[in-house]
Amino acid sequence: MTKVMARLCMALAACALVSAAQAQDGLGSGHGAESRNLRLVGMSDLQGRAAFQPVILKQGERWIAYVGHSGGSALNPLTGRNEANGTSIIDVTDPARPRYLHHLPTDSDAEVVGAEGGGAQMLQVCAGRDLPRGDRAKFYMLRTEGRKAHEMWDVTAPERPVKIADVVTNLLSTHRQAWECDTGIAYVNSGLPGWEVLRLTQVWDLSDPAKPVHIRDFGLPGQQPGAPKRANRRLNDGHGPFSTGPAGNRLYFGYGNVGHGAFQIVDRKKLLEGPKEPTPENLLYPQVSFQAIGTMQAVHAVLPLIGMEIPEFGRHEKGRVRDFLLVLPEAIENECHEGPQMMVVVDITDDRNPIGVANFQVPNKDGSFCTRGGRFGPHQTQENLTPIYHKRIVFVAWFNAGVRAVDIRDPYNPREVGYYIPASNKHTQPSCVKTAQGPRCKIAIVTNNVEVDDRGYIYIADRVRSGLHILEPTGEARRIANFPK
Amino acid sequence: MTRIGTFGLLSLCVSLAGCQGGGPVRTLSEYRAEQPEANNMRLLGFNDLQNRSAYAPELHAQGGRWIAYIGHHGGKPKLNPMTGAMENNGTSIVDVTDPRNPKYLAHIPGQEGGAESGGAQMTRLCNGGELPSGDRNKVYMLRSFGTSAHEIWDVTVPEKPVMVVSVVRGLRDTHKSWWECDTGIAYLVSGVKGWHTRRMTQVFDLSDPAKPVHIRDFGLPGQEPSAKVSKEQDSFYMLHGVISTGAKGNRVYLGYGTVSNGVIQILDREKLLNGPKEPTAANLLQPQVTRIDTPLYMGAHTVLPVLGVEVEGLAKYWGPKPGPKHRDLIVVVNESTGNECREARQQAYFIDITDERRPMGIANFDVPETPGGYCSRGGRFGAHASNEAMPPMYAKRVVFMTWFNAGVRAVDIRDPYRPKEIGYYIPAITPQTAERCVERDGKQQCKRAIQTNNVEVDGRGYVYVVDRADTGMHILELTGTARDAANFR
Repeated sequence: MTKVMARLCMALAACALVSAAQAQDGLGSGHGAESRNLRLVGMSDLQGRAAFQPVILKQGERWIAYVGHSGGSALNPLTGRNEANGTSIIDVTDPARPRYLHHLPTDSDAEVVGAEGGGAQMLQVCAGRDLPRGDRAKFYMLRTEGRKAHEMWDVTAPERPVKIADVVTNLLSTHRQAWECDTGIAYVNSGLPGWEVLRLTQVWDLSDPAKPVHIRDFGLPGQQPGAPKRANRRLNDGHGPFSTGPAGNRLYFGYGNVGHGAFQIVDRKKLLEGPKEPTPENLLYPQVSFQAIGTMQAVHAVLPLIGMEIPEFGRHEKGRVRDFLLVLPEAIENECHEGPQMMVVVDITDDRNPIGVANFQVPNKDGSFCTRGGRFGPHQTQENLTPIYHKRIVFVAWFNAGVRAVDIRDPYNPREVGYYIPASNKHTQPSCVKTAQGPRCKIAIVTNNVEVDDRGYIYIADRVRSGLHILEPTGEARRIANFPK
Repeated sequence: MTRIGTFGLLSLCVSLAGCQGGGPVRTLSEYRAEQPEANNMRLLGFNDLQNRSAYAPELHAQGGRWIAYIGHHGGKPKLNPMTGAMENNGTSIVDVTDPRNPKYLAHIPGQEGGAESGGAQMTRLCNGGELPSGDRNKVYMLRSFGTSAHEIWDVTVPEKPVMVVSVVRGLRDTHKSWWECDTGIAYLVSGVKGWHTRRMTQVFDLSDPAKPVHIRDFGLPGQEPSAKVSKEQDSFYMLHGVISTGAKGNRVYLGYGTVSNGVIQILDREKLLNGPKEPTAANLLQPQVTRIDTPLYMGAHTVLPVLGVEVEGLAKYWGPKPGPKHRDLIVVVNESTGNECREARQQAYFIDITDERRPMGIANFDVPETPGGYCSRGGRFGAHASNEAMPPMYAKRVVFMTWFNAGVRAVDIRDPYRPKEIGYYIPAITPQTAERCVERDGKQQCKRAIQTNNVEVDGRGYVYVVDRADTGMHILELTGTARDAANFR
């Protein structure tokens, strides 16, 4: 009897959640949470700032989340001042009760919601003990400063970050960063005057974070200074690489802006040690392969899954172990005013000749995600390769469809095993589309980025100011993960 | 009460499927090569094709009848009971008007030689009335003759085929050619001496089948006679098959390689036919729209275009912007060549070519090895070919793929991003089925297993599969829920 009641309640609750979400036609008062196999553990409103990227690591006995914000400004209740969006620093040691420690503002004045011009969207954190020439007692944060700069901060005491150095300033744009903590090599997205593209990659040696050493600038042939002027300088914008470091010796770059999504596989050693003058030949020299991804938009993020044993191929004499690259084109337009964007699983075992073998989409047959408001589609996956999830579950930030947990153990047949769409809240900003009658706006969650920590907690950050949600897997998703026994 | 009802229905379905030889995949211990296995496909008729190793069936409606033309691999001469003579494998001609009672009409002997060197693997059929300069009353068959030639036959009376002309002779190899009946243009897979490959394309004008006109020889840059390449490279990028969408579609799709060194190529047909023909690297590149080099362990046996698929849900996208509401794809079917999985897995890939200059692989189709234990059943396990005829009940809806010892698989492609198996048929072996061997610990170990080689469909929707290991031809139809994926209304 009790069991029956409990089931009934669960079913009713689920119904209530769904109807709350479905009631969201037109600019309503927001929507409730929806979930399967992912459970909300805790939440921080991030002072209602538009968030881009969370990074979480253990510092001493504490777990600290750093969240990069997009442009805008908000009141910081800790200082009582209105501050331009920068970096939120949160103690998430107890994920059920995250403690907001500090907001590190920028001097950017970009106010537009989600604007890429302001804030400090991107960041990477390394422990000094991992860096070849870092101070062993320190923690370092590399972050963007609006569109202008990449900066180095000492965040050993996360409550009191101290600026150490400007890595580079006077840029036209910034975007993703990748910092190898074991070598100190950083790949940062920068806009440099003279180049025939807005965003390219700069390689820096940050092995001593206080003394940045520039290694080279890198883009696609045709983007170098002096190349013929291009009608659209953003056509093949760089989105930054994922590095497998000296051991893997590969960098995986995403490219594209509106349309023209592509990915590139680069030999890391050749990039670092090859001829550096930006001539077309030198830019091509480290390239292993370059592949356009059809009609889809920019490739914002990639995640390599190297050395996956395919149980199904176990009895074959050859090709039992394969390498894959998850390629994530970015949904760019609100309310599906673009073609469907999906995660593509690319077989890169022979990485000179990659071939897409599978895709993952959030089903939208009834079109409900296209009418909820905001963007619908993939953006990014976790980048922390903790053995709890690596090659098992990939979490994909899917904008208005929240975060999706995808069983990737059989890369030929990726399969959704869970999702979490946070409830909107008082901070959630409306997302709009243009119509003949002017802008039409709706309130919906826009999950921008996801990251996991080494304990297995999942952090998702919202692009339209709804905050940071901390999740954990339950049910089937938890069984697929590899939590320590 | 309701629950019991549901269970009752479920068990009924299972037992019905059982009646059709269906049900769950048989595990290796349950597997008996002498028993067929099926799901949503049913055997209607069978012909042993004189137990000749069969490559590909072609179906043709002529004179109120449906005739199957089956190209055979080479092999030792076998008895043709109709003539009483021992004949080299060539072309079987079978009346399949009543698919339950196929009637063997004639065998045209082929070239002497082993499996890949003799026989007459490939046929294509055109009505004279459709060809621009053909005899209106005639039916013509284009066939390969072993490795050495392509021939035109008059098969107006399929019981009495008459040789018309050799299109070309003295070749090093042949394979899966294509013939456009409305224009007469043929794309022959030929090995022309002097070229740096055993198989490339020869374009002929066969609009008057009696008077073949050579248009050009074509291959990948680097295969032309004047190229300087190593001896080893001579075996690279062997052309396997060609499919043209004709003057209207203006595209030719080519697959090179089997299990390795694969290339998928899309050509501009008009440029291929009317561009500069001298085989220079630049001229060979001129008609190319797209070239995809496949990974080392993947080939491209069949490149099947599936164009203009209206994917459910796609209409929800683009908003007020103009954007494609359909998808164009190629289905790339690899070829398994090693017995008992002594190779990398060979499967089928779906490549989105909606923007054909920026092709993108987006899905795969595979047959799970477990629990069927196909790697241990004997012979090859893996993909080989798809049907190439696209009658309206199957076009953009269902593709059939041959999978050697896993028979033929029916695949629902209405959402090409999620191809889905909806049925299969694995024929039973017969006492005439040939053995397939592997070497283990220095000893030959042989097994008899079905080796479904190629599949084709006719305009009525019947499905014809032929066996590489001499078993014959099985005529099938879709049943149950699989039939709903097709459009028989």
